[in-house]
Amino acid sequence: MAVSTTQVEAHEPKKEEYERPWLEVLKRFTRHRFAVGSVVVLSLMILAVTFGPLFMPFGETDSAVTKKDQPPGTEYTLPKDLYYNSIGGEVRTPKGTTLTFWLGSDNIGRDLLTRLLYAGRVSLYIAVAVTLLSELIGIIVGVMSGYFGGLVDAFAMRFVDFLNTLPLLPILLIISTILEPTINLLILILVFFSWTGGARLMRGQILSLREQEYVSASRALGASNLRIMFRHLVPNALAPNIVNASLALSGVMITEAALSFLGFGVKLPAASWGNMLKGVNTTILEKYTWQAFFPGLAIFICSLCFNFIGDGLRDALDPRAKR
Amino acid sequence: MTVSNSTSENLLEVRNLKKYFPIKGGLMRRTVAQVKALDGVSFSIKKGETLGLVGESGCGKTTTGRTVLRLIPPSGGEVLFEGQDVLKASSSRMRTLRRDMQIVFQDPYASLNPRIPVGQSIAEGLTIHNIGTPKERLDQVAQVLDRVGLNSGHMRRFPHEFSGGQRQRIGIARALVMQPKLIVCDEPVSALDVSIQAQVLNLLNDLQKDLGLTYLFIAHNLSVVEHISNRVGVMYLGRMVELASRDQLFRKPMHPYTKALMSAIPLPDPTIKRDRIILEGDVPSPVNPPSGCRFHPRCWLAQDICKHDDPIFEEKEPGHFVACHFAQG
Repeated sequence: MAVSTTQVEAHEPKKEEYERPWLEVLKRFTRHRFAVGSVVVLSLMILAVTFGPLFMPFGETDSAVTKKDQPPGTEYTLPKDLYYNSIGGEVRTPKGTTLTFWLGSDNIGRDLLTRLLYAGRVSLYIAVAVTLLSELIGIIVGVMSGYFGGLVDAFAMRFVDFLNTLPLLPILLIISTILEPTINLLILILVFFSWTGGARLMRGQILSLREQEYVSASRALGASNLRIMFRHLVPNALAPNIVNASLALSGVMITEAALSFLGFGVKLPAASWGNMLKGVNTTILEKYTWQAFFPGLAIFICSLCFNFIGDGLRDALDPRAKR
Repeated sequence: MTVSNSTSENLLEVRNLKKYFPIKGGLMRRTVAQVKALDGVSFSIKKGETLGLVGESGCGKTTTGRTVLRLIPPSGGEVLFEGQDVLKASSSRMRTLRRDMQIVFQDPYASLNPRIPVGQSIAEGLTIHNIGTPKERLDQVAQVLDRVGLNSGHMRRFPHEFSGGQRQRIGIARALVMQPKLIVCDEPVSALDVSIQAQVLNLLNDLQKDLGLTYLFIAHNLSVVEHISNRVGVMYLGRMVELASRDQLFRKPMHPYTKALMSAIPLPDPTIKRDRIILEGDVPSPVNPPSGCRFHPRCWLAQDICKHDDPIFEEKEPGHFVACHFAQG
C-alpha cells in the first residue's frame, strides 16, 4: 500500500538527490491526504467558477418570471418571445429550447446553478484578494516592527491593538451608508481590518530570528537593513504566515458571506455566495431548502478545503516534523 | 589607560571600550539598572598577530568582539582600525570598513541561513559590495571553498547537508572571500569535536601565514588560546585583568585570577601533583560589580586596599599588563 512504499523510500534516500527545503515541504504536504484532496477539489471549483458560466444557457441575472422557487431538476421551455443568455447582446439559446434548472431557481426565477458559479467568482476573488493583500501588509508591518523594535514596534503594535478593538460590523454598516459599496471597496475595508493577525505572527517570528548569528554575519558583511529583513528574515519566518493565510481564506469567505447576508457586502443583482443566502428565513428553509442549501454547501466546501490545506501546510512547514 | 604605545603597526586599537546593557522595568519601561558587560577594556593588536581573549562565561569576551565590529552599539570608548575610529564612522564609511573586518561565529548551525545555498551565503559580501561580475564571484567562491578544504561542488548545497566542522569552514570561507585584514573569531571551535577543533585551528593558522591575517581570537579554552595566540588577554567581569605575550602569560601569570585559571587546565599526565587553586563563590553580577578591584571577593590575596581602590591596568614588566595591587610573578 501507499504507506509501505513511503517507508521504503524513507529508509533508502537516494544519495545524489539534493533535498531542497521546499521540495521537502512539498513531499511532506503530499502525505497529508485531506490536504491533497482539498487542493484537487478547490482546483475543480476554481475551474468551474472560471469557465462554467461560459457554458451555461442562462445569464447571471436572467429570470424566468413564471418559474419562481422551482425545485432542482425543473424543466423550462423558453417562451416564443424570449431569448436567453444574451451576454454581450449575443443570442445563444434559441427560442423554444427546453432548459433545466439543475439546482432549482430562486425567488425571482433565476437559475441557481448559474448564479452559484458567478457568485463563486466574486466570493473566491474577494477571499484571495483580501488574504493576499492583508498578509502582504501584515508581513511588511510585522517585519519592520520586529526588526527595528523600540518606538516603531510600540507604535505599530498599539495600532494593531487599536484596530483589533474596533467592531467590524457596526463600522461596515456606517461605511456602507456613506460610500457606494463596490467589491473593491469591500476588499479594502476587509484588508484594513484583517492584516493585524499576520503582522503579529510575523513580528513574533522576527523577534526570535533577528538574534540568529546569520543575521549578525550578514550585518558584518555590510548588508543593509532591507536586505537582512527581506533576504534573511522573511523567508525563514514565512511558514506561520502561509498557514495563517490559508486559514484566513476561509475566514474571509465567511465574513464576506455574513456581510452580504446582512446587506453590506456584494450588492444585488451581482451574486456572491453570501448574498445568495440573503433573505433566507424559516419559510425558505422549509419550503425552498435548495435556495439556502447550495450556496451554503459551496461556502462549507471551500472553507473546509482551505482549512485542510492550512493544516497540511502547517505540518509540512514544521521543520521538526522531518518525516 | 596605559596601553597606548600607539604605533602605526597596530591594526586595531581599542581604548576604554564600554558597553552597558540597560535593564528596563516598571510601568514606563525606564532603565532601572545596567549590565556592565564591558567596563573600560583596552588592548591593541598588531598586524599579522593573534590576540587571544579568554575568560569565563559572561565576562564580556563576545561583547568585546561584537562591539569592535560595531555589530552592537558601544556605550563609550574608541575602536581604531588602521587609525580610523570605527565607532564614529558614517554608515557609508562603515560599509567599506566592513570589508576589512570580518567575523567567524561560535555556532556553525546558527551562523548560516538554512534557506540559502552555501555558495550564495559565501558570495553575499561580494554581492553586497558589488565586487566583480556574477561569474567572477562564482570563481572566487570556488577558490575560497577550495582554500578552506571544501570543493566548488558544495556551492549549491544547503547548510543542513554539512557537518559542524564543514559548516565552520563555510563560515570561515564567508569571511575570507572579502579578503579582510582582521577576523574576529568568536569561539570558533568551542562547538566542535576535539578532533575537528584541531583541524579548524590549523586551518586558521595556515590562513594567517598565507594571507597575513590578523585575528582577535575569543575562547574560553586556555589550551586552544595557547595554541593559536601570540598575545593573550584575560578578562574578568567586563574588565581586562591581564594582557601579555603568550609565553609570559603561560609561564609567569601575575594576576591571581589568571593563576587560578591556569591551575584549572587539565594536564594529560595524571601522576603530576599540583596545587589547584579553587576560587570561592560565583562571579558577581555585572549589574552591581564589587567596589575596588572586581576580583577581590574571590581573591585569596585581597587586602583592604582591594575593596576601595580599583587597581590600574599597568605594565609591570615589558609587554606584561596587569590590573592588580599585589601582582607578582
